[in-house]
Amino acid sequence: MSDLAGEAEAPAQYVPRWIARSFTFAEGRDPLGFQTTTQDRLMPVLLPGLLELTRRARYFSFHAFLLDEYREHHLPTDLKALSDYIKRCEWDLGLAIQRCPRQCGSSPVGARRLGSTARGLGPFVRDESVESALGGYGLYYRSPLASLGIVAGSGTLLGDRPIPIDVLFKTDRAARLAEGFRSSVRHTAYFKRWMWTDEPLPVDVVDEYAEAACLCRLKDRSDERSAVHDALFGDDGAAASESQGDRLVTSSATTAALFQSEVKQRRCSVAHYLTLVQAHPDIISSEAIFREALWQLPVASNAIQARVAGQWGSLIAKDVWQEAVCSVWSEFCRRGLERCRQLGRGLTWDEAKDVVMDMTAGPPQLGKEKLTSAVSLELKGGGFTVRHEGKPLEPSTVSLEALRSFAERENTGMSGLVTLLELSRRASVRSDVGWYEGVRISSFWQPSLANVLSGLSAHLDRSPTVGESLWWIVSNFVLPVHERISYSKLPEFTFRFRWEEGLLKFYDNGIGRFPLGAIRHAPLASLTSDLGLWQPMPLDNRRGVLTEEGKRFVDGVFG
Amino acid sequence: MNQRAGAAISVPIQPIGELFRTSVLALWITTYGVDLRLFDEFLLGRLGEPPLNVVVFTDHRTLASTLSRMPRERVDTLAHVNRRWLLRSVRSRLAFHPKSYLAVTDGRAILLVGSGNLSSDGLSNGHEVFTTFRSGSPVDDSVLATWLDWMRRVVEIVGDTTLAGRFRKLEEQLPSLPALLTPGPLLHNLDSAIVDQLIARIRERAAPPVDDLLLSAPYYDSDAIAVAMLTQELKPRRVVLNVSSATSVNGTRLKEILMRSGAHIDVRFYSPDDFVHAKLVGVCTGEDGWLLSGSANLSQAALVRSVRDGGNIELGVLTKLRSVDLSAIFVPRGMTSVVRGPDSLDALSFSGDAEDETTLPRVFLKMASALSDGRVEITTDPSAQAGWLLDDLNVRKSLLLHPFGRAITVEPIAGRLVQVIDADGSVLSNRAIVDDPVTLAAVLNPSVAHSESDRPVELVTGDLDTPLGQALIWLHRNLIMDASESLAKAPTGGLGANEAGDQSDDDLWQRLERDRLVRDRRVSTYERILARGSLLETEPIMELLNVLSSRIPRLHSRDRIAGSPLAHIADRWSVSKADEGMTPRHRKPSTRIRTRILNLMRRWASAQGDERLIWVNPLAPAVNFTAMSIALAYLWMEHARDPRSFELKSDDLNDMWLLWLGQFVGNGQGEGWLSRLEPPELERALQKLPGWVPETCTALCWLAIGSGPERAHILKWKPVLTSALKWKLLEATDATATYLIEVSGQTLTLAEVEDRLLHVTEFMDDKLWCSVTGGQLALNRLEFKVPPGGATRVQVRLDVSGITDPLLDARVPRLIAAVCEYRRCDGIAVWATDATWRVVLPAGGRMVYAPSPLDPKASESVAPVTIAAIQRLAGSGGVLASVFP
Repeated sequence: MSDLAGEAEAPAQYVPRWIARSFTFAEGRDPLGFQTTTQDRLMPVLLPGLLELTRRARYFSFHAFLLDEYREHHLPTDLKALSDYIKRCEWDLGLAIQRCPRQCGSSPVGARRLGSTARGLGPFVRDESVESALGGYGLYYRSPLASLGIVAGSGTLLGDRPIPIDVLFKTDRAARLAEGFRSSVRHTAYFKRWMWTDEPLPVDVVDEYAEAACLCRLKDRSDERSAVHDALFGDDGAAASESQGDRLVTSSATTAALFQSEVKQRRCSVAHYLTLVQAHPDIISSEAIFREALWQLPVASNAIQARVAGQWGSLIAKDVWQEAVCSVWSEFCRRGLERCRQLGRGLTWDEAKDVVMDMTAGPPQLGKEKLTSAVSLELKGGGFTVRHEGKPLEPSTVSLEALRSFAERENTGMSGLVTLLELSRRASVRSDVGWYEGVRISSFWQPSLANVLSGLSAHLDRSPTVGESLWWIVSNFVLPVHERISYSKLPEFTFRFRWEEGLLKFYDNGIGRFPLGAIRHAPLASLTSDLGLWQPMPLDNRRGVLTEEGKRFVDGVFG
Repeated sequence: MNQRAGAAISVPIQPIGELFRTSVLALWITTYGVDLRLFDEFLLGRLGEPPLNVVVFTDHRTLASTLSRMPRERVDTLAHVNRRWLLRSVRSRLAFHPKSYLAVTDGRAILLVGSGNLSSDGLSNGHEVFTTFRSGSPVDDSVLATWLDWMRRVVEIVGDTTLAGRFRKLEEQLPSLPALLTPGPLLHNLDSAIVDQLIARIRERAAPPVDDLLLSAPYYDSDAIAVAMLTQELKPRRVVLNVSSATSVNGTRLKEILMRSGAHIDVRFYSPDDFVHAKLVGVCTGEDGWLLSGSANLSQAALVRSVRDGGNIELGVLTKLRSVDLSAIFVPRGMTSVVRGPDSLDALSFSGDAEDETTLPRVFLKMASALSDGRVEITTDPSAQAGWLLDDLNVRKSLLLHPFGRAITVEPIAGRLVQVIDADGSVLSNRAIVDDPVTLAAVLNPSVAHSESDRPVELVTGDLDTPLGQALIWLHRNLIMDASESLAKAPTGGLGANEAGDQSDDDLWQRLERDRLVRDRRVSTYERILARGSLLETEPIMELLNVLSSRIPRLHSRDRIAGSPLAHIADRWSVSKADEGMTPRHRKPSTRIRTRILNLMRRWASAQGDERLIWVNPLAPAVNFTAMSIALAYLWMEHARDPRSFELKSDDLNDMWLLWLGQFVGNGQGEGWLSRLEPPELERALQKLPGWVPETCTALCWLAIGSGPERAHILKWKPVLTSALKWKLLEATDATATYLIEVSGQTLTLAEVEDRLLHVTEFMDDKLWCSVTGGQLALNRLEFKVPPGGATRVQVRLDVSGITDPLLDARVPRLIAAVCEYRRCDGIAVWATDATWRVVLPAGGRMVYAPSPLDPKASESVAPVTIAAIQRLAGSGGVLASVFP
């Protein structure tokens, strides 16, 4: 062969290669962006600084203590070493909690990894609590402690240089918090020696540590508890900025004001929760009762309480709206997938609309051509009933929580529409300041509840049928939103449907409901209990009663 | 050759990762179908900021069909089309069917030719094949030249000036390519049928009959005429047919043709029975094999006809390989094939002509473009006629007719999706997406190249204009230097009520963090760097070098640098120096820039210990270190060029290198990243580390300690250099010496460089060491004393004050580790100066702790203690009590 002919074909290394997937399939937890409204927009406003998994008050003092000890011992100033240290100490505390002499049953950070280790007779091997960097501190307490002004995270500027690891701010509040835990465990062999070793822990060392350090013991440690209380609800005042000097500069005037407003909001929300405990003792153990209590118009003692009650009420309303849309979404996905399979292709715009019209079959079945405004009027006038789980249900008279539950259980587009209409009716009588603050909060993906309700009102003015109203929900809050969210998640492929070559193609990629965002029911109950603001009723630990300290707290906030 | 072919077959390709990268300047795509939303919402977003020259050609019928289904409510989803990128449909008698993807970065190009359309199936989820060509070798460059020539003709077919202007720009952006003299491996059918070219090439080497004809394609012509032609011309002794139940062909007719050919028929069904979209034709004779891949199905329109004869527009690649390698290529990854008899073909049916599925409107709306006053100009075939209107699905406007088939609406029209209708409202034309010429031009030639938002938090806009700023931006945009930063940018997501039941469900939160990190688009950079064996193929490093070399003659792929970026920097620099003369222009750098940059580099260095980087890639810190080392080598050169103008001082560069090297190899008081690896990972890391890293490390270390600095400075460097030596990262080469001569201006030999580094690793000044180390550990006094008599396994004794309980003080392991590193000993005694305690670690023995010299209660460690164990304790903040009972 000549050289020229040799170039006519590509040599062997140019063989074609099969492609590998760039996309991975996953169901996705928030296909319409409702959870993020709760978690990232509403909760930081309503209860700043506390995450859903920030559950136990004593972890605040424990982690502050760990950071303080780390600095005191001149340990390496790199995050990896700090992470190892925290995870080791969390493991040890987890062991102690699981061996609580009072058998309190608290669940420590790292419970899964600890497994049944603590049931043995010892000595107990040493390990780490959680695989993730900085352990449970990093996952659940680091961000709250930073928000509370206790911890300066790595990267915070000290002069013009970023600090390499997390440290406590040089404030009295932070020092008291660390000292609170230290004074509780100072006498233990664990603190004196074993905390710093990696030898297996003898059982008596763990048990002695458990006696002092278990989460349940905070109630007995008034100084430490007061320090935690102060960390959550106090501030450093003017003295703090002086004492910080040129060490860790925290704030401009703007951030200081923001900090103050967060403290105030946290106090108000917790005080509001306590007033609800007083009125509904079983909210400590039932999220449904908690939700209903939050929705009810409070007999507010003053404007401050009325405002915070309104804010939380708007959160509950937003969740009912979410549940209504979720029912529409769920049926739309089910029917769309079924229709695609029948046709062997995606749906045109009109076919997608037909799928929605078919959803008017219910339940509840109201008739495709029935006017939505007529349903609205019937709800307003009373007497409008639907069948739910074999029984009649009157949406306008049941509790809001029951209405939400109706939408969730029926799981149909029509149940979602009825729920939305009834929510709109109930919301029309709310006009307090806090309510307006809450319902105006939107997210990147979904409009605010205020916009939804005003949009619904404008929609009803056009005298739509129920089918058209379902399409209004689908075309505004489902179709475009899900596509945008799913594209933002690529290369994780979370589409339930998407437009391809002008056709709406449905995917069998999880067509069920998506959950409500967590609304801090459990953290509010456990943290306020740990702080001794309420206690279980005698012989009924599913109901709570405010302690004198709890009553003082409420009085202090609401006057 | 065969090994390379086999290896290539087994390595899959991820077109999205290969093509859609932040460094892309031009991306030209030809495809039959296009998923507009996927491209707009995801793929386009993976590209960097303007300037961007992005053009997609698609089949006219397919696009018309897609757009005809679009309701006016969804027109807003076309926001970027013909604004940020240009979409053009190609009208031919049959289908525009080629699948090719050309991505041009700074001075280099990559071309993928294959079977996958611009869709999720075509690029990710389907069974598709692609052949990859990269500029820089004769074969690759000839293919690129053929493609460019072919593309010029496609542009001419479309006949649109906006497109032509972009093609000119593309020609400027491409590296220079050879003139076309002979037919190359890239085949097209603009002039002659692909099957004719295939047969002619084979006949040049082997006369029929051939041994085997292997076939796989999803679509045939209804009567299998193309297969008949292949069998007639090649006369194969055996035909191997790969099919699935979805293969579109008249199976009975196909069987008849094959039986008539006299060949042995071998029918293989894919298992599982998935739709396989790849199109492959293989031919074997003796040991020779040929493989045709690309867009052409086994149909007359694709294979047998040229465009002149009314065929599709197709593109293919002809590869020569050994016949034994051929059959394996026909089976997709994760699938097998099941042999069945010829009668099994009867089950296959022809499902219509997939390439002619739409009846076209009688008017072809070729282009619509917005004018500055909001009116829209259109070009149609045939030319617009009186009474026609332009409809944007909301309003319709009359058209004013102009020569050459152009027409302009009489009034502004706002909609972006338009069609021609007649006075009765009947649709006359396909729909077209209106061009926005102003925005298109701004994206093609913007005044600002990159978004300000995509930069490290420490840097401000002005910093980005400097070479140093550009280098840091490149590192930031292509590598994950700090996992926290990446996670902070990700959306926070939400927590479901039913997921929040138990704090102990830690896996959920870990998964959440990990998922966010692995989705970072920069993850692919690591895969690309580590997938290649040498610098010649590590394109990201080449990109970095080009960014760094922005002031000096550009590194083209043809200039690949024989494995030594250091040599390249030195070489290019000396050329540049000669060109410029030695009179650089001075400018005064700002102190604040320096502070910001140092903060950034410090933050990145300390972030290398972050365990979460393993989610990016198990070797991510090694890749980051590699990139930073070459960046620092270049920055030294910038510094040498004009120290007064450069943003950083020489001490800054040394401090940064000390920090980075210490994190990687260890610093004497703790382990480095390498030490923390388990043996298999360590072996892999050392194996994957590019061969030029040691010479680069050596150069940077010499710059820190080479010119006779003060003794304290040498002492500071000694432990890190000792660790680097241990990991074989100090190896001077000629490139090291050449580079150092350029940077330092000194006359140096290889031996002098090595001697100087060894001198530092052996440097001793006990008094100074005690003073420095005492200061670091907040210890009042340290002093070396004569080791205990008779203890042959204790080489060093150190007296210390300021420690009350040596078993529980975390400074003691750090102190012991530091002494052993400094003195290179493995047996040590540490005594309290006030004689209240002693700790003795004899080499290879158990550690002994005595509360006081005369105390009989001296205790021994539970097992022998090694220096490595002490280093681990020191690195993790542990204490000696851990090793005692």
